[in-house]
Amino acid sequence: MEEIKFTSYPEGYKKAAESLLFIPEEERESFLDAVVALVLNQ
Amino acid sequence: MNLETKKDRIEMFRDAAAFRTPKRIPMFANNSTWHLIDQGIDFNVAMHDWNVMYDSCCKYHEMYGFDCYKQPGGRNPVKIGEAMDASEYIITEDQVNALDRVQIADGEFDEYLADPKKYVWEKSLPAKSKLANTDKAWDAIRKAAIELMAFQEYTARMAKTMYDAYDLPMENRYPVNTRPGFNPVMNNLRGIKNVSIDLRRNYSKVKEASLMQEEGRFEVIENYCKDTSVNENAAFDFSSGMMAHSILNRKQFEDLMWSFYRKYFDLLEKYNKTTTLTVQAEMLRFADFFRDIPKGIIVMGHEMDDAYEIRKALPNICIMGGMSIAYLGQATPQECVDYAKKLIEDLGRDGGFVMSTTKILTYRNDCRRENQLAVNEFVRNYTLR
Repeated sequence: MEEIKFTSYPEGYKKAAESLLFIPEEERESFLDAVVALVLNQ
Repeated sequence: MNLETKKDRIEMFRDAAAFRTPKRIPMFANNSTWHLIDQGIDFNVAMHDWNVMYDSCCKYHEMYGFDCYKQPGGRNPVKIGEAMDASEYIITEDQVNALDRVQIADGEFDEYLADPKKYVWEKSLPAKSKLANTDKAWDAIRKAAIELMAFQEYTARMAKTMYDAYDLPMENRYPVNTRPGFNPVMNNLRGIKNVSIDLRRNYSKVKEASLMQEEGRFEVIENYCKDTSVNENAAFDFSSGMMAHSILNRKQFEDLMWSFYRKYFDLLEKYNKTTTLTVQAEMLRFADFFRDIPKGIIVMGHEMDDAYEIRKALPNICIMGGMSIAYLGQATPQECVDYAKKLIEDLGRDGGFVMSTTKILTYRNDCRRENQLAVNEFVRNYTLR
Protein backbone atom coordinates (compact mmCIF):
# COMPACT_ATOMS: atom_id res chain seq x y z
CA MET A 1 0.00 0.00 0.00
CA GLU A 2 1.36 3.42 -0.96
CA GLU A 3 2.44 5.57 1.96
CA ILE A 4 0.43 8.74 2.48
CA LYS A 5 2.45 11.93 2.12
CA PHE A 6 1.86 14.53 4.86
CA THR A 7 1.51 17.38 2.41
CA SER A 8 -1.12 15.68 0.23
CA TYR A 9 -4.72 16.87 0.34
CA PRO A 10 -7.10 15.50 1.39
CA GLU A 11 -5.24 12.26 2.25
CA GLY A 12 -2.43 13.73 4.37
CA TYR A 13 -4.75 16.28 5.91
CA LYS A 14 -7.28 13.64 6.95
CA LYS A 15 -4.58 11.36 8.36
CA ALA A 16 -3.15 14.28 10.36
CA ALA A 17 -6.61 15.06 11.73
CA GLU A 18 -7.16 11.41 12.64
CA SER A 19 -3.91 11.41 14.60
CA LEU A 20 -5.27 14.00 17.04
CA LEU A 21 -6.63 11.27 19.29
CA PHE A 22 -6.89 13.62 22.29
CA ILE A 23 -9.55 15.65 20.44
CA PRO A 24 -13.14 14.32 20.09
CA GLU A 25 -13.47 12.70 16.68
CA GLU A 26 -16.10 15.11 15.33
CA GLU A 27 -13.94 18.13 16.22
CA ARG A 28 -10.59 16.92 14.88
CA GLU A 29 -10.68 18.59 11.47
CA SER A 30 -11.84 21.95 12.80
CA PHE A 31 -9.19 21.76 15.53
CA LEU A 32 -6.54 20.94 12.91
CA ASP A 33 -7.71 23.97 10.91
CA ALA A 34 -7.25 26.12 14.00
CA VAL A 35 -3.75 24.71 14.54
CA VAL A 36 -2.76 25.39 10.94
CA ALA A 37 -4.21 28.91 11.11
CA LEU A 38 -2.10 29.68 14.17
CA VAL A 39 1.04 28.07 12.72
CA LEU A 40 0.62 30.32 9.68
CA ASN A 41 -0.81 33.46 11.25
CA GLN A 42 0.09 33.54 14.92
CA MET B 1 -8.04 49.08 48.14
CA ASN B 2 -10.34 49.14 45.16
CA LEU B 3 -13.77 47.83 46.11
CA GLU B 4 -15.44 48.34 42.76
CA THR B 5 -17.19 45.29 41.39
CA LYS B 6 -17.42 43.84 37.92
CA LYS B 7 -20.93 45.28 37.71
CA ASP B 8 -19.61 48.77 38.57
CA ARG B 9 -16.91 48.53 35.91
CA ILE B 10 -19.30 47.27 33.22
CA GLU B 11 -21.64 50.16 34.02
CA MET B 12 -18.77 52.65 33.59
CA PHE B 13 -17.77 51.19 30.22
CA ARG B 14 -21.40 51.07 29.07
CA ASP B 15 -22.01 54.66 30.20
CA ALA B 16 -18.89 55.86 28.41
CA ALA B 17 -19.86 54.03 25.20
CA ALA B 18 -23.38 55.50 25.30
CA PHE B 19 -22.23 59.08 26.01
CA ARG B 20 -23.67 59.12 29.53
CA THR B 21 -21.53 60.59 32.30
CA PRO B 22 -19.87 57.61 34.02
CA LYS B 23 -19.20 57.50 37.75
CA ARG B 24 -15.55 57.87 36.75
CA ILE B 25 -13.65 57.26 33.52
CA PRO B 26 -12.99 53.52 33.04
CA MET B 27 -9.41 52.43 32.33
CA PHE B 28 -8.64 49.93 29.59
CA ALA B 29 -5.20 48.27 29.54
CA ASN B 30 -3.78 48.24 26.03
CA ASN B 31 -0.66 46.27 26.88
CA SER B 32 1.13 43.51 25.06
CA THR B 33 4.58 42.92 26.53
CA TRP B 34 5.59 46.08 28.38
CA HIS B 35 4.57 44.49 31.69
CA LEU B 36 7.29 41.86 31.21
CA ILE B 37 9.92 44.59 30.94
CA ASP B 38 8.40 46.32 33.96
CA GLN B 39 8.84 43.12 35.96
CA GLY B 40 12.31 42.23 34.60
CA ILE B 41 11.11 39.04 32.91
CA ASP B 42 12.98 37.74 29.85
CA PHE B 43 10.55 37.54 26.88
CA ASN B 44 12.00 34.16 25.89
CA VAL B 45 11.06 32.76 29.29
CA ALA B 46 7.53 34.22 29.48
CA MET B 47 6.63 33.24 25.92
CA HIS B 48 7.66 29.64 26.52
CA ASP B 49 6.04 29.14 29.90
CA TRP B 50 2.35 29.96 30.37
CA ASN B 51 2.73 29.85 34.16
CA VAL B 52 5.28 32.69 34.00
CA MET B 53 2.99 34.67 31.68
CA TYR B 54 -0.01 34.03 33.94
CA ASP B 55 1.84 35.21 37.07
CA SER B 56 3.12 38.32 35.24
CA CYS B 57 -0.40 39.31 34.16
CA CYS B 58 -1.75 38.83 37.69
CA LYS B 59 1.06 40.97 39.08
CA TYR B 60 0.42 43.61 36.40
CA HIS B 61 -3.20 43.90 37.49
CA GLU B 62 -2.34 43.89 41.19
CA MET B 63 0.10 46.77 40.61
CA TYR B 64 -1.91 48.98 38.26
CA GLY B 65 -5.56 48.01 38.72
CA PHE B 66 -7.02 48.65 35.27
CA ASP B 67 -10.73 47.94 34.78
CA CYS B 68 -10.30 45.64 31.78
CA TYR B 69 -7.40 44.02 29.88
CA LYS B 70 -6.99 43.32 26.19
CA GLN B 71 -5.86 39.70 25.63
CA PRO B 72 -3.78 39.50 28.83
CA GLY B 73 -0.58 37.69 27.90
CA GLY B 74 -2.15 35.97 24.91
CA ARG B 75 -1.00 37.93 21.88
CA ASN B 76 2.00 35.81 20.95
CA PRO B 77 1.43 32.04 21.28
CA VAL B 78 4.82 31.32 19.72
CA LYS B 79 5.09 27.67 20.74
CA ILE B 80 2.39 26.55 18.29
CA GLY B 81 4.42 27.65 15.28
CA GLU B 82 7.68 26.51 16.84
CA ALA B 83 6.32 22.96 17.12
CA MET B 84 6.20 22.92 13.29
CA ASP B 85 9.53 24.78 13.03
CA ALA B 86 7.53 27.58 11.45
CA SER B 87 7.82 30.51 13.79
CA GLU B 88 8.18 33.90 12.18
CA TYR B 89 8.90 35.68 15.44
CA ILE B 90 12.20 37.21 16.41
CA ILE B 91 12.33 37.13 20.19
CA THR B 92 15.02 38.77 22.28
CA GLU B 93 15.27 39.39 26.01
CA ASP B 94 12.99 42.43 25.81
CA GLN B 95 11.45 42.47 22.33
CA VAL B 96 9.26 40.34 20.11
CA ASN B 97 8.83 41.17 16.43
CA ALA B 98 6.87 39.37 13.72
CA LEU B 99 7.93 39.14 10.09
CA ASP B 100 5.62 39.98 7.17
CA ARG B 101 3.50 36.92 6.43
CA VAL B 102 2.85 35.54 2.97
CA GLN B 103 0.68 32.44 2.45
CA ILE B 104 -0.24 32.85 -1.22
CA ALA B 105 2.76 32.91 -3.51
CA ASP B 106 2.95 35.31 -6.46
CA GLY B 107 0.78 34.17 -9.37
CA GLU B 108 -1.15 31.60 -7.32
CA PHE B 109 -4.28 33.56 -6.37
CA ASP B 110 -6.45 31.38 -8.66
CA GLU B 111 -5.14 28.19 -7.13
CA TYR B 112 -5.93 29.49 -3.65
CA LEU B 113 -9.39 30.73 -4.62
CA ALA B 114 -10.27 27.37 -6.25
CA ASP B 115 -9.75 25.47 -2.97
CA PRO B 116 -8.32 27.44 -0.03
CA LYS B 117 -8.03 24.47 2.33
CA LYS B 118 -6.16 22.40 -0.23
CA TYR B 119 -3.86 25.30 -1.09
CA VAL B 120 -3.06 26.08 2.55
CA TRP B 121 -2.30 22.43 3.32
CA GLU B 122 -0.29 21.64 0.20
CA LYS B 123 1.42 24.99 -0.38
CA SER B 124 1.25 27.48 2.51
CA LEU B 125 2.11 25.07 5.30
CA PRO B 126 5.12 23.44 3.57
CA ALA B 127 6.38 26.87 2.49
CA LYS B 128 6.54 27.95 6.10
CA SER B 129 7.20 24.77 8.07
CA LYS B 130 10.62 23.26 7.67
CA LEU B 131 9.21 19.94 8.89
CA ALA B 132 6.17 19.58 6.60
CA ASN B 133 8.08 17.68 3.92
CA THR B 134 9.84 15.36 6.35
CA ASP B 135 8.73 12.25 8.22
CA LYS B 136 8.74 14.35 11.40
CA ALA B 137 5.66 16.27 10.22
CA TRP B 138 3.15 13.82 11.71
CA ASP B 139 4.62 14.17 15.18
CA ALA B 140 5.12 17.92 14.77
CA ILE B 141 1.47 18.63 13.93
CA ARG B 142 0.39 16.68 17.02
CA LYS B 143 2.80 18.72 19.14
CA ALA B 144 1.42 21.94 17.61
CA ALA B 145 -2.11 20.76 18.49
CA ILE B 146 -1.02 20.08 22.09
CA GLU B 147 0.46 23.61 22.22
CA LEU B 148 -2.86 25.02 21.00
CA MET B 149 -4.63 23.15 23.79
CA ALA B 150 -2.13 24.60 26.29
CA PHE B 151 -2.80 28.08 24.90
CA GLN B 152 -6.56 27.57 25.19
CA GLU B 153 -6.13 26.38 28.77
CA TYR B 154 -4.05 29.47 29.54
CA THR B 155 -6.58 31.90 28.08
CA ALA B 156 -9.45 30.18 29.92
CA ARG B 157 -7.52 30.24 33.20
CA MET B 158 -6.51 33.87 32.72
CA ALA B 159 -10.08 34.89 31.86
CA LYS B 160 -11.46 33.05 34.89
CA THR B 161 -8.96 34.76 37.18
CA MET B 162 -9.73 38.19 35.76
CA TYR B 163 -13.44 37.50 35.98
CA ASP B 164 -13.73 35.69 39.32
CA ALA B 165 -10.69 36.59 41.42
CA TYR B 166 -10.25 40.21 40.29
CA ASP B 167 -13.92 40.95 39.51
CA LEU B 168 -13.13 42.41 36.09
CA PRO B 169 -15.18 42.27 32.90
CA MET B 170 -13.90 40.73 29.69
CA GLU B 171 -13.42 43.09 26.75
CA ASN B 172 -16.12 41.62 24.55
CA ARG B 173 -19.01 39.32 25.11
CA TYR B 174 -19.27 37.40 21.85
CA PRO B 175 -16.36 35.34 20.43
CA VAL B 176 -16.76 36.00 16.73
CA ASN B 177 -14.52 37.40 14.00
CA THR B 178 -15.81 40.87 13.14
CA ARG B 179 -13.08 42.16 10.84
CA PRO B 180 -13.40 42.71 7.09
CA GLY B 181 -12.00 39.98 4.86
CA PHE B 182 -9.38 42.32 3.44
CA ASN B 183 -7.75 42.38 6.86
CA PRO B 184 -6.41 38.78 6.67
CA VAL B 185 -5.79 39.13 2.93
CA MET B 186 -3.23 41.83 3.70
CA ASN B 187 -1.96 40.71 7.07
CA ASN B 188 -1.84 36.96 6.54
CA LEU B 189 -2.40 35.82 2.97
CA ARG B 190 -0.30 38.21 0.89
CA GLY B 191 1.61 40.50 3.23
CA ILE B 192 1.68 44.28 3.03
CA LYS B 193 4.28 44.44 0.26
CA ASN B 194 2.61 41.97 -2.10
CA VAL B 195 -0.94 43.19 -1.54
CA SER B 196 0.13 46.74 -2.33
CA ILE B 197 1.08 45.52 -5.80
CA ASP B 198 -1.99 43.25 -6.04
CA LEU B 199 -4.28 46.23 -5.53
CA ARG B 200 -3.05 47.60 -8.86
CA ARG B 201 -2.44 44.40 -10.79
CA ASN B 202 -4.98 41.87 -9.45
CA TYR B 203 -7.72 43.91 -7.82
CA SER B 204 -10.52 41.48 -8.67
CA LYS B 205 -8.61 38.63 -7.02
CA VAL B 206 -8.04 40.72 -3.90
CA LYS B 207 -11.76 41.43 -3.76
CA GLU B 208 -12.67 37.79 -4.34
CA ALA B 209 -10.29 36.60 -1.64
CA SER B 210 -11.62 39.24 0.77
CA LEU B 211 -15.25 38.26 0.22
CA MET B 212 -14.31 34.62 0.65
CA GLN B 213 -13.04 35.36 4.17
CA GLU B 214 -16.38 36.99 5.05
CA GLU B 215 -18.63 34.11 3.91
CA GLY B 216 -21.26 33.25 6.53
CA ARG B 217 -19.91 35.88 8.92
CA PHE B 218 -23.00 38.08 9.20
CA GLU B 219 -25.26 35.16 9.97
CA VAL B 220 -23.04 34.32 12.95
CA ILE B 221 -22.86 37.95 14.10
CA GLU B 222 -26.63 38.38 13.83
CA ASN B 223 -27.25 35.21 15.82
CA TYR B 224 -25.16 36.66 18.65
CA CYS B 225 -26.95 40.00 18.25
CA LYS B 226 -30.26 38.27 18.93
CA ASP B 227 -29.10 37.40 22.45
CA THR B 228 -31.28 39.54 24.71
CA SER B 229 -29.89 38.40 28.07
CA VAL B 230 -28.45 41.04 30.39
CA ASN B 231 -24.76 41.64 29.93
CA GLU B 232 -23.03 40.60 33.12
CA ASN B 233 -19.59 39.68 31.92
CA ALA B 234 -18.11 42.10 29.40
CA ALA B 235 -17.34 45.77 28.93
CA PHE B 236 -18.63 45.70 25.33
CA ASP B 237 -20.52 43.28 23.08
CA PHE B 238 -18.15 42.76 20.16
CA SER B 239 -14.53 43.51 19.38
CA SER B 240 -13.41 44.53 15.89
CA GLY B 241 -10.38 46.03 14.25
CA MET B 242 -9.38 48.23 11.35
CA MET B 243 -5.92 46.98 10.52
CA ALA B 244 -5.52 47.10 6.76
CA HIS B 245 -6.82 50.48 5.59
CA SER B 246 -3.55 52.39 5.67
CA ILE B 247 -2.52 51.30 2.15
CA LEU B 248 -5.96 51.87 0.58
CA ASN B 249 -7.31 54.89 -1.24
CA ARG B 250 -10.87 56.00 -0.43
CA LYS B 251 -12.49 54.08 -3.26
CA GLN B 252 -10.66 50.89 -2.31
CA PHE B 253 -11.55 51.39 1.36
CA GLU B 254 -15.21 51.77 0.51
CA ASP B 255 -15.20 48.67 -1.66
CA LEU B 256 -12.99 46.37 0.42
CA MET B 257 -13.62 47.42 4.01
CA TRP B 258 -16.50 49.86 4.41
CA SER B 259 -18.86 47.47 2.62
CA PHE B 260 -18.27 45.11 5.56
CA TYR B 261 -18.35 47.70 8.33
CA ARG B 262 -21.57 49.27 7.05
CA LYS B 263 -23.44 45.96 7.34
CA TYR B 264 -21.78 45.26 10.69
CA PHE B 265 -22.66 48.65 12.21
CA ASP B 266 -26.22 48.40 10.85
CA LEU B 267 -26.64 45.09 12.66
CA LEU B 268 -25.29 46.56 15.89
CA GLU B 269 -27.65 49.51 15.59
CA LYS B 270 -30.61 47.22 14.92
CA TYR B 271 -29.89 45.14 18.02
CA ASN B 272 -28.50 47.91 20.25
CA LYS B 273 -25.02 46.40 20.60
CA THR B 274 -21.58 47.97 21.04
CA THR B 275 -18.23 47.16 19.50
CA THR B 276 -14.67 48.21 20.07
CA LEU B 277 -12.87 49.14 16.86
CA THR B 278 -9.11 49.04 17.27
CA VAL B 279 -7.60 51.20 14.55
CA GLN B 280 -4.04 50.80 13.39
CA ALA B 281 -2.19 53.84 11.96
CA GLU B 282 -4.32 56.85 10.89
CA MET B 283 -8.01 56.84 10.00
CA LEU B 284 -9.20 60.45 9.81
CA ARG B 285 -9.07 60.55 6.00
CA PHE B 286 -11.91 58.01 6.17
CA ALA B 287 -13.80 59.82 8.95
CA ASP B 288 -16.78 60.85 6.80
CA PHE B 289 -17.73 57.19 6.29
CA PHE B 290 -18.37 56.93 10.05
CA ARG B 291 -20.24 60.21 10.56
CA ASP B 292 -23.79 58.88 10.47
CA ILE B 293 -23.21 55.94 12.80
CA PRO B 294 -25.35 56.67 15.89
CA LYS B 295 -23.74 57.28 19.26
CA GLY B 296 -23.42 54.20 21.42
CA ILE B 297 -22.22 51.78 18.73
CA ILE B 298 -18.46 52.29 18.24
CA VAL B 299 -15.73 52.55 20.87
CA MET B 300 -12.62 53.42 18.87
CA GLY B 301 -9.09 52.63 19.94
CA HIS B 302 -6.82 54.98 18.01
CA GLU B 303 -3.12 54.93 17.25
CA MET B 304 -1.72 57.75 15.10
CA ASP B 305 -4.65 60.16 15.12
CA ASP B 306 -4.96 62.75 17.88
CA ALA B 307 -7.91 62.16 20.23
CA TYR B 308 -9.01 65.78 19.95
CA GLU B 309 -9.02 65.60 16.15
CA ILE B 310 -11.12 62.44 16.30
CA ARG B 311 -13.65 64.07 18.66
CA LYS B 312 -13.89 67.06 16.31
CA ALA B 313 -14.38 64.93 13.21
CA LEU B 314 -16.46 62.19 14.83
CA PRO B 315 -18.46 63.43 17.83
CA ASN B 316 -20.57 60.27 17.54
CA ILE B 317 -17.69 57.90 18.34
CA CYS B 318 -16.57 56.98 21.85
CA ILE B 319 -12.78 57.30 22.03
CA MET B 320 -10.74 54.66 23.81
CA GLY B 321 -7.21 56.01 24.16
CA GLY B 322 -6.03 59.57 24.52
CA MET B 323 -2.96 58.90 26.65
CA SER B 324 0.02 58.88 24.33
CA ILE B 325 3.16 56.86 24.98
CA ALA B 326 5.12 60.09 24.56
CA TYR B 327 3.65 61.11 27.92
CA LEU B 328 3.80 57.74 29.62
CA GLY B 329 7.33 57.05 28.43
CA GLN B 330 8.98 60.43 28.70
CA ALA B 331 7.04 62.94 30.83
CA THR B 332 6.94 63.27 34.61
CA PRO B 333 4.17 61.71 36.72
CA GLN B 334 2.64 65.14 37.34
CA GLU B 335 2.67 65.99 33.63
CA CYS B 336 0.93 62.67 32.91
CA VAL B 337 -1.70 63.30 35.57
CA ASP B 338 -2.30 66.83 34.29
CA TYR B 339 -2.79 65.46 30.79
CA ALA B 340 -5.09 62.70 32.06
CA LYS B 341 -7.22 65.32 33.81
CA LYS B 342 -7.36 67.42 30.65
CA LEU B 343 -8.44 64.40 28.59
CA ILE B 344 -11.20 63.55 31.05
CA GLU B 345 -12.50 67.10 31.29
CA ASP B 346 -12.33 67.77 27.54
CA LEU B 347 -13.42 64.40 26.18
CA GLY B 348 -15.12 62.39 28.92
CA ARG B 349 -17.26 64.44 31.26
CA ASP B 350 -20.38 63.74 29.18
CA GLY B 351 -19.34 60.19 28.38
CA GLY B 352 -17.71 59.11 25.14
CA PHE B 353 -14.23 58.49 26.52
CA VAL B 354 -12.34 55.50 27.94
CA MET B 355 -8.82 56.09 29.25
CA SER B 356 -6.26 53.96 27.43
CA THR B 357 -3.02 54.30 25.51
CA THR B 358 -2.70 55.28 21.87
CA LYS B 359 -0.39 52.38 21.13
CA ILE B 360 -0.14 48.88 22.53
CA LEU B 361 2.44 49.04 25.30
CA THR B 362 5.16 46.82 23.93
CA TYR B 363 8.65 48.28 24.22
CA ARG B 364 10.80 49.54 27.08
CA ASN B 365 10.38 53.24 26.32
CA ASP B 366 6.60 53.07 25.87
CA CYS B 367 5.93 53.64 29.55
CA ARG B 368 7.45 54.34 32.94
CA ARG B 369 6.11 52.58 36.00
CA GLU B 370 5.75 55.75 38.07
CA ASN B 371 3.78 57.44 35.30
CA GLN B 372 1.28 54.60 34.84
CA LEU B 373 0.82 54.29 38.59
CA ALA B 374 0.20 58.04 38.92
CA VAL B 375 -2.30 58.15 36.03
CA ASN B 376 -4.28 55.14 37.25
CA GLU B 377 -4.37 56.39 40.83
CA PHE B 378 -5.64 59.75 39.60
CA VAL B 379 -8.29 58.35 37.24
CA ARG B 380 -9.51 55.86 39.84
CA ASN B 381 -10.22 58.66 42.31
CA TYR B 382 -11.46 61.37 39.92
CA THR B 383 -15.20 60.91 40.14
CA LEU B 384 -17.55 62.63 37.71
CA ARG B 385 -20.85 62.14 39.51
